[in-house]
Amino acid sequence: MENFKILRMIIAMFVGIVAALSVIQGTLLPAILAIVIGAMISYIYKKRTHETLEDERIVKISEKASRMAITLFSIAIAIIGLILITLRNEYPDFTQAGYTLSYAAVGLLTLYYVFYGYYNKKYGY
Amino acid sequence: MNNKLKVYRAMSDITQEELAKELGVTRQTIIAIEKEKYDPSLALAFKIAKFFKVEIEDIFIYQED
Amino acid sequence: MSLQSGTIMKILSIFESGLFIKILSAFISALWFAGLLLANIYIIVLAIVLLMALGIVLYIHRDNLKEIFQGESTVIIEDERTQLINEKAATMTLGILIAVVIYAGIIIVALRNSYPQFLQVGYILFVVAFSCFILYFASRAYYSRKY
Repeated sequence: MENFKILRMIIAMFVGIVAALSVIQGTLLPAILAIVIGAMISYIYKKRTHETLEDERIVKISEKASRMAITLFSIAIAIIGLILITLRNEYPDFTQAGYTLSYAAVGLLTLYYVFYGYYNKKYGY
Repeated sequence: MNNKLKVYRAMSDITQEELAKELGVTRQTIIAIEKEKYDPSLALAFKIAKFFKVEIEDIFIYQED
Repeated sequence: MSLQSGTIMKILSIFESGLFIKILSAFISALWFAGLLLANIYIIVLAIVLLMALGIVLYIHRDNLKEIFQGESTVIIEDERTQLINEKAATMTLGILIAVVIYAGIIIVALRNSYPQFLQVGYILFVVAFSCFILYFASRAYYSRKY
């Protein structure tokens, strides 16, 4: 598992650097290629390795962490988006940011309820 | 995981609703366990076995993959 | 004297009841809408202050939350299965959200010469993805210690 952690860090750094450089230069292709290559390397390693990469405890921790993160995050972006839109007369430059955050909150909730329906059906209702 | 929850429930002549209330879960969870779509946690499995006064292995049948 | 203390207890119990909390929540929601429509930040600030006060009251009565919200009803709404569904749905949502937001942000910022009016959107999406990551890893660290 330690090897996978190191590999994951290297891949993240590689993708981050290439994506940042391509964004600075205003080109898309290197960023997309870096993401695809990183995903492929990670997938190939997972398939070939005999290490135990995750077990039920790690999955449980990950799921609980996701739930907490989603809850706090959705509340935060909804409130911040709302405040920025409310201040549209005083700070018109940030109105677009407010709408982006509000749409992100709506998108997040929609996605959440789609998956909730899917897992509700999967686990027996 | 296979289980005989429906059999034990029928033997005890208790509805899903009543069993759910006794165990502190929703009726949908009892349905899901009986349909073998959901595996209960260890705590809930022990509760179920204790309710029917049997061992866990009598109700839940573990199968190796 | 006993009539007075009885009245006071009744008033206090109204404040502690689920109904009062529901009414207050509805009022706070109305304040959000009013503030947004009227573009008045003071109404929003009032809503936030009331929300924080409500949060404090709920935290003080955190051991009685079930009685406050469920009341006399004995119907069980949430159990380990619904929690599992919530957690799995949250995991999928978070993964897809971060991926989509990062890709969208990269595309928008990379195309800033062609579409300069959307540059702010691109930066906001980067901030959203980054914040989400930070929150996720902080939560993960917390639960790793707990379990």
